Amino acid sequence: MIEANTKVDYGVVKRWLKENLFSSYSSVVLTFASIFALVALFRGIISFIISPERQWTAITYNLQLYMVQAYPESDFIRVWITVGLVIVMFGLTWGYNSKNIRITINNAMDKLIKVFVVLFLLILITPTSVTTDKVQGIQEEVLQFNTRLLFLGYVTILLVTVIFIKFKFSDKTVLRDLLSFAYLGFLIASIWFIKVPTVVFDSTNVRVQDQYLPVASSTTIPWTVLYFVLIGFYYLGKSFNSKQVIALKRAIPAFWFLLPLLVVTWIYRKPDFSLVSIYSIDLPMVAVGLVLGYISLFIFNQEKNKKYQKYFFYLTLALFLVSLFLPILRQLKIIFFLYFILTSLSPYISNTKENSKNLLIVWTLSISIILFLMRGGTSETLIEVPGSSIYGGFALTWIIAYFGVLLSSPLGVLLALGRTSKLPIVRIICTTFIELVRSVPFITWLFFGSVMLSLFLPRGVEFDEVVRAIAVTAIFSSAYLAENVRGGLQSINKGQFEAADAVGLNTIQRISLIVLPQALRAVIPTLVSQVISLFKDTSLVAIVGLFDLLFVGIKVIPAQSQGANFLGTVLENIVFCAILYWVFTYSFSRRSMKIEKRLGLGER
Amino acid sequence: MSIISAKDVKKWYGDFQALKGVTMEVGEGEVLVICGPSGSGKSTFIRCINRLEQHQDGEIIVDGIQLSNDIKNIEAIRSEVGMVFQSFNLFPHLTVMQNITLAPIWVRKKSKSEAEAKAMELLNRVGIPEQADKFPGQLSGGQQQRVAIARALAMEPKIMLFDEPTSALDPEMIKEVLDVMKELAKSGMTMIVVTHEMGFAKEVADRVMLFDDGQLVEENTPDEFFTNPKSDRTKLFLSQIL
Amino acid sequence: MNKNKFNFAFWRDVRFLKWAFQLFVLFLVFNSLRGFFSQAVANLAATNLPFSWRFLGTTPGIQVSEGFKTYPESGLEAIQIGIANMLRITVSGIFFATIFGTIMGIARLSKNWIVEKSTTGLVEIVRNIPLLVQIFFWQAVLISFPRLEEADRGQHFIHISAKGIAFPWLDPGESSWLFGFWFILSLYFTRKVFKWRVSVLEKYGREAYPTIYSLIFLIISNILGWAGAYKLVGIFGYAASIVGNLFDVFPRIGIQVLFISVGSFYAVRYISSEVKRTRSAENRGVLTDDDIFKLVITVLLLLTLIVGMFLPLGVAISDFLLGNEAFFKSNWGLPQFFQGIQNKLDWNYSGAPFSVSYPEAIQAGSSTFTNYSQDVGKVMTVGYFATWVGVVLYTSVFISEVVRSGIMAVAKGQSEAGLSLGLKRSTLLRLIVLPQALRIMLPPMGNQYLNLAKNTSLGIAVAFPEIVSVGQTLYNQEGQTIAVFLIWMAFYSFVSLTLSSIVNFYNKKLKIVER
Repeated sequence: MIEANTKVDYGVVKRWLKENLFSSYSSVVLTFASIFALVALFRGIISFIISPERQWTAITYNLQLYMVQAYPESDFIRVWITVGLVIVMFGLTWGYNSKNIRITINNAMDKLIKVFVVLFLLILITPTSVTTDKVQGIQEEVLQFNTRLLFLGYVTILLVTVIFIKFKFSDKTVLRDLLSFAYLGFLIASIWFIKVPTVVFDSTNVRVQDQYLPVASSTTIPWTVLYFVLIGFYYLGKSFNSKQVIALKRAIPAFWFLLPLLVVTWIYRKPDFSLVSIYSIDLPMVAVGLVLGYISLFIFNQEKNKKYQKYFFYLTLALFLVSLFLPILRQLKIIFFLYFILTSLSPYISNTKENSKNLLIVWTLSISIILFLMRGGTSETLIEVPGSSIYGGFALTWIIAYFGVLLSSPLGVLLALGRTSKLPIVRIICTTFIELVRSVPFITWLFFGSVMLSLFLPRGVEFDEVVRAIAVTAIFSSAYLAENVRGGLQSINKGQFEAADAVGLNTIQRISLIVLPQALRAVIPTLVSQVISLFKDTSLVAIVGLFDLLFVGIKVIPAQSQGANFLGTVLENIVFCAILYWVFTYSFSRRSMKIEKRLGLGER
Repeated sequence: MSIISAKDVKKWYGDFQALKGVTMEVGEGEVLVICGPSGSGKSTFIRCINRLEQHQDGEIIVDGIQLSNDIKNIEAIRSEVGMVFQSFNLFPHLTVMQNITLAPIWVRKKSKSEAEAKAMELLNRVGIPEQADKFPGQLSGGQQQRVAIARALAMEPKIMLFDEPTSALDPEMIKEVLDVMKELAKSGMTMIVVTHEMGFAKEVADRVMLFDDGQLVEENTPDEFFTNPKSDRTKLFLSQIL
Repeated sequence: MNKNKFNFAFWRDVRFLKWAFQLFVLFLVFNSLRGFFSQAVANLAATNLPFSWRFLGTTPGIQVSEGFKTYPESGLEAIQIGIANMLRITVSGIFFATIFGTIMGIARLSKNWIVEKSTTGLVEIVRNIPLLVQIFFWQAVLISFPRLEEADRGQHFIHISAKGIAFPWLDPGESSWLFGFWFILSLYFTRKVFKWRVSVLEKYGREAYPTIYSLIFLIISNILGWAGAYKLVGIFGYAASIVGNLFDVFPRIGIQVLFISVGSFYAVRYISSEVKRTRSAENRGVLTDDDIFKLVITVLLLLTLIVGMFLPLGVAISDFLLGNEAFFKSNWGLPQFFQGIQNKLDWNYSGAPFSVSYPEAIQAGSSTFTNYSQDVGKVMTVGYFATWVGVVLYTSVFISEVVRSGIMAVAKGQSEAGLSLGLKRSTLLRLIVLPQALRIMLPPMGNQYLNLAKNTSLGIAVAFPEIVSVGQTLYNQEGQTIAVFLIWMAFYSFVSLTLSSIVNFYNKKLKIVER
């Protein structure tokens, strides 16, 4: 049976080769030319990597700097809590939304076989020696015959194992998620066992011979723990799903939304707050909010009072507008604003007793959470980083990207609505804004934020440089977002507007219930690519001197001359930054393609 | 007492005058069929009645409310007058049930359960209760148009406007929509129907009107209209369409 | 419409609500802008650095590392150097990115598996790495080459070092502009010849060899031009000198009147056409909100223009155009412009327009360092190289996507239709697929060109002195941040507008072809 299989396979392979590589004379030439070019490229890359001129220890030694810049080591537990929370949420989401897709062992192993065969071939064509001195032509042997044999041996063993599994369990299926856990497990195991050269200092702080240690040796235990946490929460999420906990469906996105806010206000910042202020300000404020909420929901939602609802709504609007100009606590202003939103929404949401109860829970939670976040965000931070903000490295890149997206989305949608509006003045203002922002490159806006913004603000009002970068990023991105959303708005049939009018919806209802849902769904792919390009654009903050990932790689590490000497190790660091950016953007775009496909299927 | 009265209604699109002074009245519970060649202004006229288009001269009074730029009146008219479009115009991102309950919840401020009960009743009435949780894209044209009728009825309007409700449908689906409309007419709803379905006009209409070139050419009972029309224009029209 | 018939409060009128809302928004925007502006004025006054354009006329103490001049004599000249550098990279970048992008786009549609996969791989790599990282990478690559040592001194054909890439170049002689103009003219006439032969072909149905004819014409005309016929172009220079002299005696009021009359002409024409359009609706001038708004804005703009031409700004613009002293000392007005043309296109010039020169590494001044000579050959500096390679590669990847989807959009149905007509594959591609694909590709292509132009601003990261970089140096020196920002904004807006109007022009042209 197996023999018959291979015979058929042979024919298929032959036909495949004929069709895809050797279909015509020019194709043959192209095939050989590109194979030659690819092999040369690969050998070039390998000789670049293993060249003795390269100091890869600059990266292995500085991983910490890359991730969090100068965040003090004593508070690293905060970073780990942040990562842990993300992992917890990730596991929960994954488990809750798991589709229980099963794949056959056969297919999974086929993929692995392909990977290992390619690896085998790559080890075979790896160059033996690299030129270290171009002038004198000195060559250094870097890959000895025995080493190569050893590597080939490893790969062969793996290959044989995989082939064995393939034929032994060819008809068995396995949960795809389990397979992912297995791959992740290998990754975690590798940080225990795979050793890379790193810089080591002796007791007198003198650099000694580089040693081979597990990669990022201080993080092995946390990562391993988090791996099991991930699996644990995956199963927790799965059990929630099977028990039909519907609340989580709403709660998970809300948690994802809140998590970064919690991180930047409390976990990462270590705010210096006094309990007194919580007792004397925050708790009374929550109480005020609760009383207001109960009043509006229980008095004005009763049938006989319904006709006063409208006046009540105007009253709360007035309350909010007046409070803006009153010298009262910020907290109270925010409560009035939220209260205004509550009274405008409650007639539509709290139609039944059940809904009213839920709305009250949401109301209580939201004012408590907002006041809690405000307390953390407005208190002084206890963490001191000499010369820069506490946000740095890859963490800063993520913070700018996250808040850029968060702030630019509503602004972009509003601008798009304004630009497509029938009101000429509003349209002209929005169009001018969008075109002005778009016509000028991002870097000039960053300069505007870092140099000129303070000129336009009252004296004494100073924003942190990170805040300014985020603000500029959000404004810049919103103009591009607006153009994308506009495309969606224009794709909506005129009949939809007429139908919405004919059933009696007002302008705001028409936009929020009919127009925007359709428009946004139509432009999801372009919105995702806009988010990706925003993530890439965050690297520009390095030019205005913020300590993001790229700045650490291009300016900070190549200037290290104390202790470990990494002066001029620019190439290594750029390559590392590029790989890091690439991994995230690439996986993000792959993921979005899958979502796009699923949406395309769902629509019709 | 007439529920709709129009007096010398005029409307321009740039250089083109679509309505050249239309005067007519519709009584309560009356079924009125408007026909005429394409571009004769009949669609424009009924779209003026619920103010999807604005007339520029003359006056229209619907249920005692004068159509004007008063924001209150526009809102009031829209919930008194239901409209069914040629191309259905269902909301593609909402299920059939959500399509029907949307306006009662957000405009009439009904509770969700109340609105859903009413919607189910209406879906039964138009004969497709089993399609409630589907999306419009999954339904046939005739079913979509019936959902559109249910959506309009959900607002409990006093008047229903039909803008060529069957002209985008395949022949075999026309009947199912017309049946629903006949049933509606029998229940005493005031209806204005723009259509080319002469059979429907003969059977159901109380009056038939012919529009041509933005003007009301003939207004007559169905019997008279089809057998003994007053104007030559009507004869010509009938000879072309029958 | 008789309003008296309707008895409802005016504030319930939809039209009133619309305009009230808009005026409210306008008020808010205007007020906050005014607030920011007055705050900025107050802040600047407090820093003893009031806003001014004067730095454009004075000599800044800055050095620009490359460009047509390294020590600019005025701020304006520094900006000009930046603009020239930016345009240098943009124009050549667009050219090469289009070529590479098209090749890659076609390669991604190749039937050859390995070609398709490796191109897709390249695209995925380049597209997902931030451009800035790539620019830094190319900088680091070039810097890792050996430094220029004493041993390298002397003439080379091509030489690569950490200082840049040196290669042979055409050195312009004094008649180079004359010949360049001649060359452009010859291209124009070559096109004419080609069209003429095509028309012969179509008229008489016999082979007319349009390509061969036009090629021969091009070669002969340029050989003649090189040999000295370029002197004919000197007529244009002479004409320019006459115009320049005319402008020299032109009074300021003339410029003002010119501006106002041109403005009035267009405004009146616009208003009359608008009024005619609405009037014709059977004597009922029904004006929509938009129409009224447009008319009011037109009149307001015209009034602003008329008044503005006699306010300091208008006077300054007129002075500027006449080359008089404006906000700053300028010598860049119309007379100077035409004199400049005359200087470039003088029929007294002679000699070969261009000569080949080879790069040479020489001692830098009296120091011990070695440098490439500025006078011979051409040096691609590290900054230029990094920005150029980065921008071209990055853009060509996006262009390849445009090309690929453009061809794919057409190829499906149209190819089958064409093949069923019995067309050859190559003819099919040339006559059916490409013209249509080009139509689809043009707007996104224009977008990519625009992105490329904006992305050249990243040159600042590798010390390439384009306009943003020069501007930053200027404001670090002079403190006029707002003025520099306004210049950036004006320049980039101008580039955007120019590029998008070029794209629109071709878009319209292609649309007509389609019909």
